[in-house]
Amino acid sequence: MNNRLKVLRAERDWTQAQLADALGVSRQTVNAIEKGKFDPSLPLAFKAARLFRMPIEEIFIDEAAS
Amino acid sequence: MTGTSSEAPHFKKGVAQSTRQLAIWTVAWLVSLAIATFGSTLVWDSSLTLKLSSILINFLIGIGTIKANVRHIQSLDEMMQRVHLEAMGMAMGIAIVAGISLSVLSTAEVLPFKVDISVIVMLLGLVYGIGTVVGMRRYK
Repeated sequence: MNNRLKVLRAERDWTQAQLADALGVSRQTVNAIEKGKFDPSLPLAFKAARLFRMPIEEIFIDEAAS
Repeated sequence: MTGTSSEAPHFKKGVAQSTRQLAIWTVAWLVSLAIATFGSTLVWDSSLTLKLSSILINFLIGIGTIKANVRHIQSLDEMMQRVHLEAMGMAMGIAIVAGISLSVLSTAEVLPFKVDISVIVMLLGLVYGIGTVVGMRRYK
């Protein structure tokens, strides 16, 4: 699964640590998600969507569907 | 970054608190284990009541340590939980496989020494530690 987390974070000038704090996860987890090494759970993905005020599918992109 | 950091203190505080509690329980368990082991052989060798009491206390503190470990795992985020789950799976698998193999070797009198439970415990701890480090590196 691809995602635009890094771009969205950079647009807001947030650090990984700030995003991790906002999502209630560790900085390592944000880093792993950004690099596509770890796929977040649905609740965490929804939390990110609420944080960025965007639909979930605009942040997380299913590789199989694209 | 406004209106987004409400989760932060809870998560970090939760992990720090559960880690601290786990450390305290683990140290208490190790101390009670040392007391039960050395006390029973060196200090109160003749008192069955003291022997049983020290072993019971060690067992009860052990239950507290297990609960603290579960709470610690629950306080971690989903990726950390996965890392620990995979490490535990590996550790449990190795402990069972190696434990059975060593037991069979011992029963068959192939080994020149007697296999002690501490060997399996050390192996389990070692594999769990390595598994956690490898897991963290994989998601880096």
